[in-house]
Amino acid sequence: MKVLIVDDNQDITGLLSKFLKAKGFDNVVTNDPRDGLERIKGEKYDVVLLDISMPEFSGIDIIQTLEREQILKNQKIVIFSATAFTTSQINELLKKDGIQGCLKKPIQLNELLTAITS
Amino acid sequence: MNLNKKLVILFLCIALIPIIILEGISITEISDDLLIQKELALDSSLVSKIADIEHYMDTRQVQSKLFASTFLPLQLDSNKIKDPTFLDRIQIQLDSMLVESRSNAIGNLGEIDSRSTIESIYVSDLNSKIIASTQRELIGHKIPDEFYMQMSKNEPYFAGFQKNQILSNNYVTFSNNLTDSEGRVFGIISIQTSLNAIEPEGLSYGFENNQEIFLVDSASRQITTDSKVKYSTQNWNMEHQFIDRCFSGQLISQQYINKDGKEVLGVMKLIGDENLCIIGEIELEKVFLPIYNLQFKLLTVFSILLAGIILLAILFSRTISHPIKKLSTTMNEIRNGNFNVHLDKKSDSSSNELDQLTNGFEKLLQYVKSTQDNLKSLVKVQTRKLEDSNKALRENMNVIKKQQENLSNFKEALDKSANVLITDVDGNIVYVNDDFCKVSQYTREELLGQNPRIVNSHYHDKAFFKTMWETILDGKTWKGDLKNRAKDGNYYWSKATISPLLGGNGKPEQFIAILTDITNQKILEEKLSEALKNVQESELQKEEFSSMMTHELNTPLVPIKGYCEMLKDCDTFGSLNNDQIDFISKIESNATLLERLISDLLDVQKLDMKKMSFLITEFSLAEFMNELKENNQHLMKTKNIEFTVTSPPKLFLNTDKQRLRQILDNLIRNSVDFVPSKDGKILVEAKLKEKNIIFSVKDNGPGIPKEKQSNIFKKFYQIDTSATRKHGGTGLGLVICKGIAEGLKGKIWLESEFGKGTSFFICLPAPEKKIVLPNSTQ
Repeated sequence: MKVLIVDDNQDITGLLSKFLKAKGFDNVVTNDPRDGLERIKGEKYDVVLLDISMPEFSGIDIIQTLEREQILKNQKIVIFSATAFTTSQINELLKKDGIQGCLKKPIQLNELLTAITS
Repeated sequence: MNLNKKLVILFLCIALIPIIILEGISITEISDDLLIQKELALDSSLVSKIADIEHYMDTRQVQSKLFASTFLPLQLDSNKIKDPTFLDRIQIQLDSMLVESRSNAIGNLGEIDSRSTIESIYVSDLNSKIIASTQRELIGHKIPDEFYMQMSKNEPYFAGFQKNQILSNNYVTFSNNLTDSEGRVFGIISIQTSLNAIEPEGLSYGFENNQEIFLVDSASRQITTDSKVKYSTQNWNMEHQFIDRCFSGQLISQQYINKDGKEVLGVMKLIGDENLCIIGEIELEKVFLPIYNLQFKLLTVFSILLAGIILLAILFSRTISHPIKKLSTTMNEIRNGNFNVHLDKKSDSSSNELDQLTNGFEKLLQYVKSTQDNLKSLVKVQTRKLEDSNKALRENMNVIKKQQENLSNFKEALDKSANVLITDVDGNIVYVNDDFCKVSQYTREELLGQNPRIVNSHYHDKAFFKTMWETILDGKTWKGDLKNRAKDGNYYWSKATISPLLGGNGKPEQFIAILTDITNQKILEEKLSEALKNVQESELQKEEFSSMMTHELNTPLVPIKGYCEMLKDCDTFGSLNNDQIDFISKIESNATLLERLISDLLDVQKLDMKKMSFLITEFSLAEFMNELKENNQHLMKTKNIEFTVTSPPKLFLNTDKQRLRQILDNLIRNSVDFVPSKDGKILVEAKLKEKNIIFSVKDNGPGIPKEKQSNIFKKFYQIDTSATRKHGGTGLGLVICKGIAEGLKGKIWLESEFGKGTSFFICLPAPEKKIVLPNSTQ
């Protein structure tokens, strides 16, 4: 299983990468949202862990681009919600095809596992 | 002369003139014709009568000649007749002649022919003396002289009529000369016959009874017969010339008055050569009687006709001229302004033109009358209206006067209270008050005739003034705040009300601007607005800050908590000793506390800014309560708390599930903190009460003193500050619970008694129609 982790915070990507690796998941990390988008467009991942609150190019921008390019519905994405976004905004995102689940920061790692494997 | 009379006269002329002419012509013609006819008829009758008489006379004359011839054998002469012997012989012969003639007169049946009967025969000498006669009494008498007048003829002749002096009777005498052998006349023999013998039936026999026939001799002796065939003689009393003319051989007819004084037509005719004339008289009155009758009848008819015509004329005058006269009179009345006249209404179906005319006129009259009445009533109404208008006008005048007074007062007040400017329709200033001059710092002379642009500050854009002009040109009032520039270059603000003063045609003639100086107010407003802007900016900054802060604060917690969790995962990352595990646990619980603190702060801030949003969904209450129980179970285990959760089975809720959960979790956590360490009890209930759902969280903790209950929903309030450390609370939980409960249109309150536990209640409105059977869900 191959997981892409997109988050601008290196500490978080480092934690998640190590945790997932320890749990036996292949994963690729990027801290640049645009690079993340290119990767999603270029390669098929089993799960994408996507942070919403990123400077310049947010997770919402990535999702909207994927949706526009008809890629979103074929991609399993788990998003990390940030408190800067309201509940209704998150719920809008969850309605879209491909958005698998939402993890609220700070993330409970066992919840993350459940989200990836379900 | 009026039509009526004309008509009558016309009718009379038409009817009478021909009648009169006709009658005149016919009567004249008829009477002339009749007269001629009668005359001719009389004439022809007379001719036959003359023939009859002439025959008689001829017979007698022949007889007298015969008798004379019987004396021839005696050879008598003038001497011998003087001889008595011859006289005797003459006498004897006369007697025998008489006898013989009488016997001859007796017919075969013994009747006596009176016409042939000779009364007497006598002989007279040349001295007119009768010398011998069958009537002895006559001898010695003289005969009338006229008997001898015709002796020279030597023919028998009609001697004349003679009255027998002895017998007192009238006779007709015929004579013949007695001549001697030498032809000398010596005497006359005369035969006397009765007058009756002329015509035994009477002279008028065979004539109409209106005709009288008589004979007249040359001695003007008249022989007539009456109705009893009695002959009489008398003297002819008519003018002699008629007889003379008759005897001269002319047939004459003549109208004259007869002896009885009656108008007659006489026709006279000579009988033979004799001196005898026959005259037939017709009584004109009797001749014309039928004509008179006819005339009378005609007159009667004419009278009736006349009366009829007059009646007709009257009738016509009644039917034609009367209605016309009535019409004319009515017209005159109307011309004199009297409309209260009436014409007799005729039947509409009448074919009479006059009736139609009358009806038409009556209709016209009615129409004129109704029009007049309408006009009158209209005039009346209009007059009343006019009076009313006048009255209203007077009242209005008073009102206007009062209004003018008010207006002048008002103007004064206005002038004192506001800056007033009036322009004409082109925007030229025609009036400014002192205050306006004062505030604009221009003199009145500088302002009058100028455009208000003189005080334009160029603060407002073109669209602003365009709207203003469009509004007031449309007849509406414009209101707004104007920033103007005074003469010295300083700006001032005015609250302006600009109204058009409309002319009679509804179009603006002038514009009045009433301006109140609001410069100070505006300065304040500007300051206020700036302050508000600052506040808003700071609010925004605050929000952004807190959002950023939350994110930034949360982000470091992710690796902290994550690594703590990984360290505790002995199976994956290797085992730690007990102290290490204890340290890690302390790091993790403090991180969690920090996390909750951040979350609570964010919620409080959202509540403060009223920015908290809710996601309303529909969910099963029972399931919700089950989840609540499950999720809090591990908390209860740590302190061995008796945790009971109850709810009605078939109820659905329509609210923000997460926020409700947040409240209940908060309350449960508080209770967990405060229940005694031994035999702690927490009861969570959901109940439907009327139209509300009441959630309650009850514990058997120490309770809250009454005096502190009112502060419990205040920020950062904690009953016992030492408990903060003990329970790890932020002091914001209940504030957030209250805010959420109210945000969900509910209420939160508590019931507690010191030492007897605490009960928190949340009341939320129940969904009105969402009570669904459990098997129909999910």
